[in-house]
Amino acid sequence: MTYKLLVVSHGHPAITPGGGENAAYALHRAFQASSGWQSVFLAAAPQAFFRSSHDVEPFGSSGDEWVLRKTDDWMHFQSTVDLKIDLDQWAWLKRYQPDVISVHQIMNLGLDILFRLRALFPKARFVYTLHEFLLMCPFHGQLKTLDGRYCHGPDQRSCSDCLPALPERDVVLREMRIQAWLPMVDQFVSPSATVRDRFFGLGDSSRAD
Amino acid sequence: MVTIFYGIDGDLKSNDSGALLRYMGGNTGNLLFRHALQECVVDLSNCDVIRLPAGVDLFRSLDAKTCRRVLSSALVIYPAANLLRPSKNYEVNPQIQRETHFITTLCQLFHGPFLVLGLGYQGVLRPEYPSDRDLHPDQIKLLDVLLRHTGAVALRGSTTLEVIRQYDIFRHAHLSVLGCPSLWISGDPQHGQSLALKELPQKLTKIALGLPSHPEDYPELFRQMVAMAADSRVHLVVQDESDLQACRRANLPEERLHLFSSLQPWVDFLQSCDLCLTARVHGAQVAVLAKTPSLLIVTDCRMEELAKSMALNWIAVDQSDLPNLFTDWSELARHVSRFDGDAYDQNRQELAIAIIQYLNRLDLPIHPSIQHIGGGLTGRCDWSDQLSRDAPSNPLVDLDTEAYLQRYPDPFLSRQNLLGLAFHAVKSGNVWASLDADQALPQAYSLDLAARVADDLVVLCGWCSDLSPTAQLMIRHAKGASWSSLLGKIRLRRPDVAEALGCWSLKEPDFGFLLAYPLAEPGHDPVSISIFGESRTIELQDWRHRPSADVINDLLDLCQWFHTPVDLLPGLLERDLGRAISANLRHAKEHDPHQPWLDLITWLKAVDPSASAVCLVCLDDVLKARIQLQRLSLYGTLQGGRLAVVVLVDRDVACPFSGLSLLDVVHRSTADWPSVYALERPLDQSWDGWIKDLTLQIPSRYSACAVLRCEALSSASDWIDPLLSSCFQQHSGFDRLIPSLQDFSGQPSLKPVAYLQKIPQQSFPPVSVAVQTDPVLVDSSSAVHVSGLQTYPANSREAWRAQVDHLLWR
Repeated sequence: MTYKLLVVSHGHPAITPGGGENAAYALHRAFQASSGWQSVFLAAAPQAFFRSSHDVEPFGSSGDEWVLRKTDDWMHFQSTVDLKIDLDQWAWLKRYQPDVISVHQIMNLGLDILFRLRALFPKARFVYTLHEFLLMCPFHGQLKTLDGRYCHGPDQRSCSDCLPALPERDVVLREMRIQAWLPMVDQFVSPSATVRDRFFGLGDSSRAD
Repeated sequence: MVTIFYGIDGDLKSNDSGALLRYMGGNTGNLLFRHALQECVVDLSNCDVIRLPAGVDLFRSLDAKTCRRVLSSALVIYPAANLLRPSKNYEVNPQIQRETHFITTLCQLFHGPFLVLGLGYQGVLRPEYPSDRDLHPDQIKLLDVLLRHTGAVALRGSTTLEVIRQYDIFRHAHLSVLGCPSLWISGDPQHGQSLALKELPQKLTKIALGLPSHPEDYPELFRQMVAMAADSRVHLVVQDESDLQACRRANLPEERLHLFSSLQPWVDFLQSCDLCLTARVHGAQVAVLAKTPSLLIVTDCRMEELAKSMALNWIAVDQSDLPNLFTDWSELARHVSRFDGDAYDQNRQELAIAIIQYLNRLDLPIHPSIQHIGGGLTGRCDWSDQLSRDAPSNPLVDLDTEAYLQRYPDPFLSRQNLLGLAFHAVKSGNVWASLDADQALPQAYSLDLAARVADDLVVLCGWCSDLSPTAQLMIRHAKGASWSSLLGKIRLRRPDVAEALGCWSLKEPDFGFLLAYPLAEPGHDPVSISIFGESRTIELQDWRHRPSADVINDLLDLCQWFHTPVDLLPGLLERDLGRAISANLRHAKEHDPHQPWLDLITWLKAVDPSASAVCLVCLDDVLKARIQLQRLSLYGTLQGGRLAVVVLVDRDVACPFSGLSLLDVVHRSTADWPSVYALERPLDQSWDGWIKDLTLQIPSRYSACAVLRCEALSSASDWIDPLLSSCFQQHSGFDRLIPSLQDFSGQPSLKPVAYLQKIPQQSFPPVSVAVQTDPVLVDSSSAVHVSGLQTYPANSREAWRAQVDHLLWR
């Protein structure tokens, strides 16, 4: 039996060669090379890399790489793409029917596309890789204060200290959005025990590896 | 009042030769020219004269009173002698360019004549090609502006005239050759004859020598003259810096160098000389004044032109016998004696007549000595009475400098005086004229738009210069009946009209009006309006079938939302604007075949019978919609099909990232829901009104309606389920069950943003009870956001639309 993996990344290393992008792509290539697995890579990309007005289109010539129109909402992670799944642009995804969806970062993708994937593929296993503390910290996801000290947050007061221009309301709404996403993840993958421990101060750590 | 630019005032006493030269514009020859222009041409004996010396900072150093006097001048005299140049020479001469541009603008500041006498062309003596004597377009423009302003221009000689006449636009221009004004310093009609009679001594003991300007252009001539100056009998008359430096380089003794800062000492000196040999025109002129025999060495066309036009004794620089004259003084004496006194006097008389005709043309009084030289020919006016002296009033005198600087903030301008700002206004074309606050406005009006917004209502929009509370207009109908209306206490701000009327400094230019005019009978259209007794035809547009949202936007645009203070909006909505909007919405509703109410009620009736309650979700924000709907999607009551969800969204709201409308976002987010109906809130209903109407019309099969207003953020867990369960059993005496409500900081809130309403409602108002549940969040900023006053800039269409909505429907 062949299992199908969908790797969802915040960027394609050919466009933005960052660590997270490369890690996600390496995962995709590794599973492609593994027997019993098929993998498709879906990455957020800027407008300039789209040839059409579609929100999602193939990237490169391999047939297993796609790009998705990225969002600039780094606060509340609202997706840019049209989530109406009946559209032709999503036909390839409906045909693919992944068994496992590996998500690397929510920035550039937005949460709404992930909610949509969750609703579309209720039986698929969602795996989320923690690359840093973006789910916790609205200040660049570093859990560090303005003066470089480690933060024990997140909480409304400490977030206001680092982002004084940010209304309290926006911080609360951000947290609500992320809290809505977390229960949808079946398994977290953490690069270190530190990240795991800091992160799971937020909730259930039983899903963390 | 007469203003003289570069005026010479008295005898400057200074040992600083540099300061003296600067005062005289770099060349003492200007003494003659400027002295003649200010003293010997126009009779200024009945005038107040302002002399603006060379080097004064016109636009900063003059006080306001002096500026006003200058601008009020009946005559401006501006010495501009060697201004015209070949175009190639012009392009490499920034000083000439500056002067050209300056005069082009300066002359337009004044209403009286701008007199430029002795204007001349500076070019090579022997042009190789005709094109060597051309003019740059800037200088053609200067001449054109001078001619348009004053009507006639005086030139110094025929060469200049020929150069200008070659251009078609000047073919018939009033150009008069009048020589150099220095001709008029002597008032003796027989001056030339007196000079011609003077005999030279047998042995020359004192010779005045004048070196050429730009000696580098005539090296051989310069060398020969410097060699001549080695003789102790030769005295050099220094006229500019190049002379001074040349003399010092040649180590000529200081006692034989003479620099004059006023005319009489110069004349006196030359009278002490036997003869004068000079390569300077004005040097030769002073010698003539002094009645000292002289010979002018002509080096360029300007000098040739002047020499000819003034009948001076001259020799060209390239003439073969010139070099002898520097060494053979007897030969020099013979050349000098060739001066034709009769021709000089005859020429002066002819030029005097010409200048009398020229000044008569400009209605300027003529100096008596010119009249005497002209054989007693008199001028037409003498400015002996005030009336003849008064210039037409110059509105620039009343330029409001403070208002101008406010209108055109520029740190450079802020240091300028009235004259400088007037110059700037004329040069830039900036609007500067303004009416005084108590000055009557011109009577003017315009009807910008007439539109039918309903069968029985027409909107008229325009502006009127009558700002009084009693301003009114008359409307006439096709059948001849008329109806008058006041333009209203609330007027619209129209700074564009203020600028057009010339009263741009008016602080509240509320010229606009918007009137909702009811038709006595449908079809009884108005055909014309009349204000100030002047009638205008009405061209009526029909807005009845346009989308109401567009009509409202256009009505707000007509109210000039950008300029009209937003605090006037409530008043406008109480009156004509509100009437127009209501009438249009009413019309749309009556004629709209699509009735959203019916569709919704039909749908509610058709929902699966398992749905026992309606959930009404109000949304006005995309982000909150995403959160709200995502939370609701997990509710057991919804997933179990027990809720028929009605989602009501605000219009004109879109996701800033995807661009999707809020309605489309709702459709995408609820695509998998068992029973959901989404619609946009009608324009003519407030949220309260809509919720009330729905709860009254919900089909009786539903026992309750859960309401989530825009300000509510539903709890993560299903608060509706426990309330539905306890609704009839535990709280039977109550109509409304309210879940736990708290704000973002965790404090309890009393705002009824979420509740479960029993259907049908028994008591009015409903009797409510709070029930402990997972808290529903209250977003206090939502109400402010919807009103738009905090979110949008006050003078934006969005803020006005939001306030229209808030005031009309809440």
